[in-house]
Amino acid sequence: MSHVSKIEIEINDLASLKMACQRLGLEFREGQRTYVWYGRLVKPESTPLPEGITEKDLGKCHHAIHIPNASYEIGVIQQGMKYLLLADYWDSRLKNAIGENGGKLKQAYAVEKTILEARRKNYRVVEQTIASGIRLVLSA
Amino acid sequence: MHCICWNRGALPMTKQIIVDIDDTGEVRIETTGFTGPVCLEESQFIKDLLGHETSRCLTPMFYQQGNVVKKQHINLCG
Repeated sequence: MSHVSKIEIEINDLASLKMACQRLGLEFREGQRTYVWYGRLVKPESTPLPEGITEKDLGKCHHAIHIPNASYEIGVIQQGMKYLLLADYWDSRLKNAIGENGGKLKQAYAVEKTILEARRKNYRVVEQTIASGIRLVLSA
Repeated sequence: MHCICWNRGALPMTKQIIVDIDDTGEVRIETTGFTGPVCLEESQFIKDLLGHETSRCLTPMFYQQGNVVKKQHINLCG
């Protein structure tokens, strides 16, 4: 073993996000400018909005992700080179589909992005399921 | 005809980058088989493409260069 690093995920590649949606059985709707949510903020003092987002921005997006059988959708907002995901977790089917704080969607994105880039760099990639999630083994 | 084996030492370890992504979206990258700081360069592309590094732990192999182990001596006397 040489070193161990921990990484915080940032979404900056739409192609990998689309593949992540496919992996989870979600529908990426390119160019959809609104997403479905409850429609108004309940207890705004206890639910701080992400940086750069105001109450007026909610419900608007650059792309959307539709979850089969769920009432609400996920808004994909472009902020410079990065993409921010906005979702109303009141919908339990949405929450089950993408996990707490979108963890499962972030996981799927990281898997797809890593596979894509590793293959581009001629690494052999083996995907395994482990107790805590997914393991990718890249061999030169 | 005869054959000479030059490499009588241990077989080199396979170079691997192991990426564990848990259900909360947290990523842990581990490199194996690399000696010296090359592991940081080899795995940097994953860090760059996924986000930013929040912590790093270097292991003894990091301090090796080829088959030479660097030792740090600490003066324990007054």
